[in-house]
Amino acid sequence: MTPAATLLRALADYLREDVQGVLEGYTAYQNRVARNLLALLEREARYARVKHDLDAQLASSLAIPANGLSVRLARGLRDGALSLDSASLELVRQQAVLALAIDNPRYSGYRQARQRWPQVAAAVDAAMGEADETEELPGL
Amino acid sequence: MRGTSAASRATHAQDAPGAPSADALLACLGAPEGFEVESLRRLSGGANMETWAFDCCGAGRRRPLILRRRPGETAALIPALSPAMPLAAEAELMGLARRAGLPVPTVVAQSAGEPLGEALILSRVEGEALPQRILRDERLATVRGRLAFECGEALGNLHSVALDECPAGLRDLPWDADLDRLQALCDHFGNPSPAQQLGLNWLREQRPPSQSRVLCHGDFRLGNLLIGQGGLQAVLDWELAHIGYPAEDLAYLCANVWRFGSESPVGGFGDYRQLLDGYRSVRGTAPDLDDIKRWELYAALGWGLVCLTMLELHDRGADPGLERAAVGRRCSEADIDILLLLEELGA
Repeated sequence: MTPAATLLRALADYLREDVQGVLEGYTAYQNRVARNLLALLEREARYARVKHDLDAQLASSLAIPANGLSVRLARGLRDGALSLDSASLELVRQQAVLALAIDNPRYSGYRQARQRWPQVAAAVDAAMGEADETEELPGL
Repeated sequence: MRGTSAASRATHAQDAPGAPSADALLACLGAPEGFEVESLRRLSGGANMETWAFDCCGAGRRRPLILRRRPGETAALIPALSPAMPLAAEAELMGLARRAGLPVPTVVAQSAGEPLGEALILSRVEGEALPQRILRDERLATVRGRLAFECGEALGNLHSVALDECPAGLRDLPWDADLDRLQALCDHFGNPSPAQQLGLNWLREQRPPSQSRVLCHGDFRLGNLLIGQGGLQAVLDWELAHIGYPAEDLAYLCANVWRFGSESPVGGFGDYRQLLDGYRSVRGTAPDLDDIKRWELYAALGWGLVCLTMLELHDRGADPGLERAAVGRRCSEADIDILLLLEELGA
């Protein structure tokens, strides 16, 4: 069965190769936005497992359920029911770096975080590299 | 000309839905018989404000103007938490700012109701608004070199405005109440971000700011500043003005998201010392760098909440379009900035 990431890649290719050239002005601009969003979704599909595993690690470190993890953690921090030790903080940083690797790897804060926290970057890179190898996407 | 990040998307009036009629514009201006509206085009639009450029032509003259108008079906922002500022109050603020020595567009005419709706007609100031062009254009290299100082001066002048002269109804929350407001926004959006909560908790642990309160612009950054060969030409978009703290406005300009990918901490074009020197040249004193860093955290938190607000407007159908749908993802930018700043601040 075709993986989601492959379909998203095919859509992005179509918008670039067949559609972009026939558009102009506002619609040409919007099509570039659409292509960027498809690329984002492709990364999200490809790294869904990485995010899932990271959530599971953090949930285990905090001893809370993994479903709805971010909301549970935010509310726990708000109410004082949860706090972050250094191991959990490291995982929260990994989550933030992974989120930008998917949402906007060109953001300056992404570069800064990778420089500031090389161990965090290395952990995220390793997990993403593994996902790249197992997904067997064409043309990657 | 007013660029804004939407300049590249400026459309001609005939394909822009909701274009104001020439008659309504001329009536609002009180233009004599025989005057005409030309080159009407939309510069930017959103759920709570749209901007159009046009020329009013007659008697052998062409007058470049801007229409700033609230869309017909206004989406209330987040009810009770972010009430929209009336355009009449914006006009009043621009008058105050002008008298305080800031460059601002001239308010040419105002409309409160039909046929134009709630609107201001402003002089169209020449200058570049697109951040990437301001940061890269060779012809603006000299201007960039002194822009941080100039921005410091401008904010120093704004912060000299007497509070009792400000229009009624500006947001004016004590520190604790302001943090309550941010917490209420986090709660309203369903607490999606642990980083936002960490930032907010840290701000809660700090002592309240000790500086005196001032009139803040609230959105002072590239995109809302017109820059030309003469430097800062106009400060635009006063809808987020409120009563706050000096370091708040200064640090907002330094927030990572408003550096547009550049390494320079002040707006992407300058360094802290230049900004604070400019401010001090007007006010005699300036916040210290620690203070600026604390307020950069506040700005990052605010940016994340703005992203969530825009996403909610999109979800409600008030603000369709790909970009508004996607802006909710920019929360992850705010998250990383908060985590970086917390470490710098020794949290």
